[in-house]
Amino acid sequence: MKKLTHLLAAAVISATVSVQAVAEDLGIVRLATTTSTYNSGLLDYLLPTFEKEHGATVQVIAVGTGKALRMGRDGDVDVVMTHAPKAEAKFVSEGYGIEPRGIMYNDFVLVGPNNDPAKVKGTQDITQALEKVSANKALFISRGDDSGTHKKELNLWKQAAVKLPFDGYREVGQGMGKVLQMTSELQGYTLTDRGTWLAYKTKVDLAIVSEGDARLFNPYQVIQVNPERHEGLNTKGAESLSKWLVSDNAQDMIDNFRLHGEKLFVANAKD
Amino acid sequence: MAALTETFAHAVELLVSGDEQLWTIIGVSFRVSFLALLTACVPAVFLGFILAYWRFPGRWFLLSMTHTLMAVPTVVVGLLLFMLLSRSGPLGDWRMLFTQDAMIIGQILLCLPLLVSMTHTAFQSADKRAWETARMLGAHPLRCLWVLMHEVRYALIASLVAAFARIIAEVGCAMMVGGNILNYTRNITTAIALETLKGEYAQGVALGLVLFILAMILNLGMALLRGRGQLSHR
Amino acid sequence: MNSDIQSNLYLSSVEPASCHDVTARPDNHPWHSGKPSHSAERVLQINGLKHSWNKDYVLFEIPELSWFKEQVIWLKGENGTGKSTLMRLMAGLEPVQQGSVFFSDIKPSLFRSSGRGRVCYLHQTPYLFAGTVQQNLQFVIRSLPFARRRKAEQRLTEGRQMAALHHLNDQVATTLSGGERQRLALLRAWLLQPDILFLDEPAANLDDGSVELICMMVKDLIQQGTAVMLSSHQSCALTQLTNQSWLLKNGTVYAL
Repeated sequence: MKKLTHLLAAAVISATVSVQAVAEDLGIVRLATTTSTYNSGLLDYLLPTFEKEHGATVQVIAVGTGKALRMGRDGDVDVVMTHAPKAEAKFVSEGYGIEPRGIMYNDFVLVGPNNDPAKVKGTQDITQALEKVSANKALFISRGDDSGTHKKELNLWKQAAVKLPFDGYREVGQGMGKVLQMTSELQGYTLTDRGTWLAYKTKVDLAIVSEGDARLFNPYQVIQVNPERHEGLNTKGAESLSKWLVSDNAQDMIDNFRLHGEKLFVANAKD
Repeated sequence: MAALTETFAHAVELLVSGDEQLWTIIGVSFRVSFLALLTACVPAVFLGFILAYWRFPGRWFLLSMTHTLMAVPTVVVGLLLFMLLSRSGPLGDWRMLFTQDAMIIGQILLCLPLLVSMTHTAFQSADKRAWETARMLGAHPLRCLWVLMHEVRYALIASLVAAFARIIAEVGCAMMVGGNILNYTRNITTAIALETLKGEYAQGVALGLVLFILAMILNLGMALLRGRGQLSHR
Repeated sequence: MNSDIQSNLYLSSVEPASCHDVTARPDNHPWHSGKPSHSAERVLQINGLKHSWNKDYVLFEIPELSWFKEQVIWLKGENGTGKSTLMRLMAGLEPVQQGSVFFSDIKPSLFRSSGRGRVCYLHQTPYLFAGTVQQNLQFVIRSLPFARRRKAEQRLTEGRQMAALHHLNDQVATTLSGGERQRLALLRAWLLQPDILFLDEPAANLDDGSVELICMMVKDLIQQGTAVMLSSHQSCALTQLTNQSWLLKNGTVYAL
């Protein structure tokens, strides 16, 4: 009997505590984000904490950057989290999004076949590395899907002054994971974000051939959808999520996130 | 609503203006699906006929297998073919993955069960005397089959149309083994999937319109054929 | 009819040679009387043939039955006794469930060209191919072995005259009248000149004129050496051509 009372007491206490935790009820927040953040597991790692603290449910729609911004433009989501600075700037300047906040960055790597037919290995300068790929007419698989990664890649080709398409350049229009698989099957080169690379590197027959160039850094921003443009947005929820992501707590969590034992994202909200 | 009409207008404009990339994509779809159908129809007609006219052990099993295979999602067929053709798979040395040939094989696998099942039904409902008369008059078996096919030609055409509709509209397998490579294996459906992903709805709608118009033409053609057939033969 | 059967020979218990004993034909027929000589060869031999529906309903069971050369057989029997089925079995259109049907001279086969078109069965309601009368006839000619085609082409005019179809050469076959259809179907068989011809109720629902024409053609075929068996539930001008009757009754065949 005594035991039961104790149990009851414990239950009552814990219930009170959880009620206290859910001080605000934010309802459902819809977040459109890129496959890279979702597939790496970062969001599954971060979001439960936010949901518990703020009594919200975050519905994640993982798509490419292009689609994510489009969904934001159409008011289909409350908040977007993407990594394509130019498109994001346009998104904000055209009035579709408000309050852009930089939260973190990760980096891209150039991967290729283990036998490295274009002899790229050891070239840290990414533009030189890409020049070697095109000069050797090696196979290069491009995302070709307007995603942040695709935009990054096009930008780098431009910097390397390589005219596209060269012999061996293939636009496939698929997600990063699929592109890595295809690159492995066809034994070509491709530019990938490190998160997807880490998730796939045991499944594919490829290796990193160039990394570490500052131009390979990939900043992520979180942007609220402009509530003046669409009705029925969960603006309050979007704002809370956006602010929480740049909070010390969330930033620490991002820094501590590991995939296959490797650090993936660098929190930089304070920079 | 404005966005919707705008997208549609843009889509029609893309089609009419003869956007090269768009028409290349449409060309890939038609080439691949026509070749697949062409390759599949001969064995399918034979199988359908044998299942309808021959009693042999395992016939019932084969029939239920074709019906079962019709329900297999296209991605599953794509996945199986992918694993077969992958570099690490048993047929990896063929280096066929992410080519049009791989797409054709995938579509053959997809439409074969449907074709066999529909031709089987067609032959089964045919006037048996067609086959018997040709046979009794000493015709070569292939000619007997031809007479029988003529007897059920509308049902056979209908099965071809249904099979073509299935393969030209499928996306899972084409994406899986074709790889959606621009100007090579990107067809209507994989392009729609991509354009939607990119938020470029106009191209997606334009391609969707092509499929819709195609379906309409095929079905109108079927209806016309059938109507004419009824007039001249019953 | 019934009293006749009493004197009939139940085929399992008698020698095959005795089954023609009862036959009596007028002697003014242009062909043999149907009584084979004792050294007569068989056209076809049936042994232990049993046919059932749904495994439990036995349609007929024929322990032993022979069809001798020179015999023109009238297969009699009420509707539903299995006349068509029996003919189709002999023609190879139905799979034999039990027992055997054996031809002495010919080996019918679908795949060997020498075995095709030797045994022919004509449906009660004939099936005509799409296209004209001419195309229906050409179908037969193109099915023949090369060596026989030229001869058949030459016989075509004669045949069309005989069947009174010469004026309908370019008419679409499916628009022909009932009598014309039956004549066209028989004309196809006449061109084919099979070794054995089964006619399933060829005179049913036909006008006298057509029956007469069909009689002529069948007679001609018999003269050219085709073994003919026809089924009919009543006697008519065609049954006059026969010299042997088989009665399908009570689930077996009695040779009258």
